Amino acid sequence: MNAIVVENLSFAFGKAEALEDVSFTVPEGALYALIGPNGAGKSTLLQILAGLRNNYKGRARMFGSNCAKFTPQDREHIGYVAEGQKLPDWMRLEQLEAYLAPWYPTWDFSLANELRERFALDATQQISKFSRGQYMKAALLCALAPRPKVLLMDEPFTGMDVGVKDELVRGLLSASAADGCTIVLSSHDIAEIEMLADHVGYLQSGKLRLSESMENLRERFKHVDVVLADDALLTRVTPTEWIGFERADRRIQFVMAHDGDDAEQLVKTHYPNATRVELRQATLREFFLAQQRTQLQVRNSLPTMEQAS
Amino acid sequence: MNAVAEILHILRKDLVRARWLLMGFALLVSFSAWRSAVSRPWMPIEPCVRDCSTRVTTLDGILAVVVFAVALMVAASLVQSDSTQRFNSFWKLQPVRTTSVFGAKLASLLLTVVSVILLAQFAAAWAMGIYPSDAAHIILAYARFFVVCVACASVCAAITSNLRGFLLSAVAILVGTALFWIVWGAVRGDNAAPVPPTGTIFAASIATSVLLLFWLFRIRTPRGVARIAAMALTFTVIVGATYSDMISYSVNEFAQWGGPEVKRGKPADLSISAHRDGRALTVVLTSPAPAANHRLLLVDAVAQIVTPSGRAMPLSFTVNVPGKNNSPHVTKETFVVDSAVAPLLRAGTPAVITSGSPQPNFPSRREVVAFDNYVDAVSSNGVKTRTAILKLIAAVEMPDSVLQLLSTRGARITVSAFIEDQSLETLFTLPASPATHHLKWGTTVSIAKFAKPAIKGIELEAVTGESTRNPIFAGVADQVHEYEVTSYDSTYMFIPTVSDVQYSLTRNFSADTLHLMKWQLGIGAPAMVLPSALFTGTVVKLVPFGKVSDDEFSDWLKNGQLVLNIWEYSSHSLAHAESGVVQQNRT
Repeated sequence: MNAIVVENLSFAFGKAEALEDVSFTVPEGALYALIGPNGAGKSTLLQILAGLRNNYKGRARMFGSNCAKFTPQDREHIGYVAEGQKLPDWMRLEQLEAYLAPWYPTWDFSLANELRERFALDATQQISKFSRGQYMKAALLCALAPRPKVLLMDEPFTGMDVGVKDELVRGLLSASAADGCTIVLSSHDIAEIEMLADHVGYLQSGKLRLSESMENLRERFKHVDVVLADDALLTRVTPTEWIGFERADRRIQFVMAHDGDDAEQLVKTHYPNATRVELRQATLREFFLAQQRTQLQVRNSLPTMEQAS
Repeated sequence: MNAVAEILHILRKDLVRARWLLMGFALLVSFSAWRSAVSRPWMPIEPCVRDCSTRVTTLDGILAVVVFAVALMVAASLVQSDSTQRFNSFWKLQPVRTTSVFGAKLASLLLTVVSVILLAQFAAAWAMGIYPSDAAHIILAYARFFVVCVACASVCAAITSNLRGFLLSAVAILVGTALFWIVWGAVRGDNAAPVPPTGTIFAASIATSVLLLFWLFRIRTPRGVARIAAMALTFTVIVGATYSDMISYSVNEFAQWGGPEVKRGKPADLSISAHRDGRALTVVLTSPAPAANHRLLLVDAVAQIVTPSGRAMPLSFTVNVPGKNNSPHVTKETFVVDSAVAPLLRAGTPAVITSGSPQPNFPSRREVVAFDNYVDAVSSNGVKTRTAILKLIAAVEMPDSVLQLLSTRGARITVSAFIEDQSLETLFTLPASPATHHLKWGTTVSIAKFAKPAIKGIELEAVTGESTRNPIFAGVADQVHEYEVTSYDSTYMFIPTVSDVQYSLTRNFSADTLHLMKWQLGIGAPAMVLPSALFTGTVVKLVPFGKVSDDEFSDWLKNGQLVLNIWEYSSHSLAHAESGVVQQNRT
């Protein structure tokens, strides 16, 4: 069953399109990572899913409920943690927990205690005096303690040191594993996402370029490393599924999307003068950088491989 | 959680969050009220004392403005603590009903801002010795005005995200209102449109503001058009409030003027009928009875004959009260009715309508028709007036000019007047023996002596003396000295000389009353007792109305007690009545 269904979703800030015809689904219990460059629309998409923006076109549903018309009962099952989100920071953490607990019938006091200990948070400390990392941990604690069905996280790792990130990741994983909580996460931290996510969506300029499971992604996207014998075919036209070209002398590296088992053969056919062809599963980071690089080339009107030829 | 529990939960959070702000606000309001109480004495009896305004310091003026502005800012802070403007406000992510957030905001505004201000007003009124009825009236009027201001401020707060934005929007609305009135004044000139009743405007203002606030929370994140619409509606509410006479003043501000002068009451339901009988015009004015212990006065009555073609002729509406009338229920002797009381309260009192203005010598007094549907219920400490319907009927002989106009087809009589409602308050009672009674507002009243026949009566002495502790009384003493006690501006201080005070002796065992009247007045000169302390003595001699035998009067003195009642201004309203077509009686 899908926890989240988004169909033909479009959203604009005035005349500026932030999201354009976005469609995807998130299976229940999945950890879905939204990646994309700055300004791609990741935060806006998460805000729509959290019910914070409702003047969009298309459909966005969470467990069958319209995200634009969440009832208080719907909200009991949604956690939202975002960079820059304001907690009532005049409160002490224990006050905030006491304030929130009555709203949520599923609030788990023992989980709250456990998370507080794990995150090494002082319950008697005023939230405004927390460091940035502690602040995000407190936000995560408040989002996890009600044992939500869906947890939406927007750039939760920004500016955190490795230790704190690790704590957060472990917190997320345990939440996901324990309750089958569906998590949608946006982050620039590709390495963390790769470790966490089982589904990934790539947003670029408001358009969802890709949405699939990590397994499929790894299967489909290959990192290709080719060394050519001479310069003859260096600028040869390549299929559009081959992206993120990097050249160094006669060595070419790129990421190719291909479903079959004949990927290596295809590359060799394309570059008959290759002295070496190496293929392996592309990492999420390589995929992301390849996408970024291609986008940059288009934006700067640099000749792509095809155009150059 | 159910809705009430949610409201209380959010309310508790808001109060904890704003605790220091609210404490500071309460201190500021208390300080302001305390200053009002100690620096501006309230003269508890009408008429007002305008000279008190000179005692208002710049600090008091600034303080009043600061308290008002801070109150609105506290209101804004409470509303903005759960902002509608930040799209990701914390409350919007929680499973809370928007109605609960709205309800909590309303509750916090009422419990803190409004109640703190009004409690301080009550405290100041009490400290200043304002009569409870007056205090309630002033404070209710002020509460009405203040609540509308708080409601409008809350709307401004809801469409802005911080204090700066709130101040900007509030200033914009106030400047807009001022500009509107400037433009409106230029366009309309003196042709002011009729003002709807204050109650209607208040209800409309409150309903609009509260519904607007509810709607702003309901849509969670109002933007663009919603904000402009909210601003426009708030502007309309403020314009409406300033157009009506809803703008009211706090107890402190009233104190600086001395008293509540304008209190608009329920519109008086005055009706009129008129008919001709030969040369005599009979006009019947009817009003519902005032409430128990109240009387209605007809003030500035303007009577006209109006024809359908628009021709009009003024009729001088005067009341002539002969010196002696019967008041059989009290003294069984003649009873002088205060002329101001006559027209409506004392229906049955002879009155006359004359034509022309002024026309004191119109020879029609013998045509006056008197009615006797007036009933006094005697009580141990005063007179309670209860009548079913009060009527005043006057019949006059008309000069030719009036007759000619009245002969016009469709001629009617119209009467416009202010109806002043007064209530009877017992000032105090004294045992009918030489004894002393101390009044709280600085005057000591005592029965000085009982005069012997043939000028039998009671000499009542009032002494005012105050030390430098309250310098206003020194000023009052000077004023009394300067204007004499009978002058309108000084009578407030010397209770026995106030024209509206009624004196009577009452006997509890028989529950009856002997009305007394002022016979003689004497004023003592201000004297210095202590440095800067003055006192002034006034002696009033009271004698019974009509013929009372020595034995009877001695019996009253032995068993009765002196009661001083005063007619207190309660409210007034404008009444307009138009008769049907004046018909000729066929005899």
